[in-house]
Amino acid sequence: MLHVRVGDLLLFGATGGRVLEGGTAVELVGVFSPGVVSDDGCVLSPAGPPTSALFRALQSGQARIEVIRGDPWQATPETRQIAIVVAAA
Amino acid sequence: MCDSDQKLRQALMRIAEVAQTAVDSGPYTDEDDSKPHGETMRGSHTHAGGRNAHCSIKQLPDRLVEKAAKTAISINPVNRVSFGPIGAVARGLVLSPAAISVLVGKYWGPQQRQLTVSFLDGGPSDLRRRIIQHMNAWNQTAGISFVETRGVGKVRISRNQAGYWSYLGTDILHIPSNRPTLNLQGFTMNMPEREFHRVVRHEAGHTLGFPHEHMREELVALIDPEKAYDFFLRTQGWSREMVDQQVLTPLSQDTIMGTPPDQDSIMCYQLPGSITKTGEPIRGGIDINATDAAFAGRIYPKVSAERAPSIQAGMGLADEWSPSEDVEVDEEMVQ
Repeated sequence: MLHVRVGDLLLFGATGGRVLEGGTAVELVGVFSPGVVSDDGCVLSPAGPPTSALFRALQSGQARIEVIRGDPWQATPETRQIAIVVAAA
Repeated sequence: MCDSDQKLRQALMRIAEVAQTAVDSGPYTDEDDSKPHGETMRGSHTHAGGRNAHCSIKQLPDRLVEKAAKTAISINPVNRVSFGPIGAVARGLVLSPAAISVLVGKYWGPQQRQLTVSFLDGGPSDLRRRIIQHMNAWNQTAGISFVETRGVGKVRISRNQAGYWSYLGTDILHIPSNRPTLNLQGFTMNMPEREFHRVVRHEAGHTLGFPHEHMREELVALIDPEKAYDFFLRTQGWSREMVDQQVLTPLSQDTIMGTPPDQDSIMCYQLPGSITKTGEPIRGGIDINATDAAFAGRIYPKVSAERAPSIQAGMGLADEWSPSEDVEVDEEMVQ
């Protein structure tokens, strides 16, 4: 069980993720790849699947999320469910 | 085939031709070698034939590359070069004009070179040696090798970040020196040998500038979008937009230099049959295959240090003149 406050961001090393329950308390912001803004202003990102799943605590309540890792192009990802309690900020 | 694609292919044919000459036929000799170097041959560079008959592609001095790109785009928007995966990840961002010239320049060039490698997480010496040995599998045909340094390498490997990934080609030079350029999550000596072949060699291929083969237009066309949306939502929780970016946006043809699409290339992922139109999987490569090796050898020829300068000259290095002689392009001319 993970205790967070409204407005907290939760970043997991993962290729995917979803909110299983409590979508009003927690949202999946997105799944991202790392990137670097080079000194010439170009955004560089590595070749490979995304590596970070970002969730945000929206309002008080409880939620259950699933964090997914593994090769996205194969159908056997490793998943982990996490219960989250969101308290008022 | 569009103009820019054709020009790129011509340039690559030229690389291959010059490299082949150097490898097969002794020192490369340009028919103009008798003329003093530095003499500009524009307009009079004609060859009546002969073994090395060619037209060299001259390049502008670095300071004018960005201007030239702007001009080219002003004249013909098709000249704009985009890079698939980065363009997808950075959708909505406006890349600076300089990026136009950078994005086509992930290639390390034809000179033989050693890329230094360091390990940000340390790790046992046998593991470090094994990883570098597999990266150097490309060196069997290509003139680029990897060598470990105790200092800060150009290639910086980590094993404790998520996923397997690498920045592409010369992009690694832009990555801050405290950050990895290549990640091998959880790699240890206990990893099966086949994973060193499949993963380490694949990521090293990215470092050489090779993009994902399964992002080639012809292979993306085999994927059924609706099946892909369903598959990745079910298995990864990805939105349709994410699937569009990660799976369904092919590499721009303008940026591809290579062989015809090859499902067995080490740079091609295995894609399940459940997302293809025919139900047949995209096989994916498990090791550097003969086509990969031959292509790497042509793009990065193995030549002696003595021959490299003549190859460089043959490929047409940047021409040079005084900045005071630079020509300002009249904007009305490009309207």
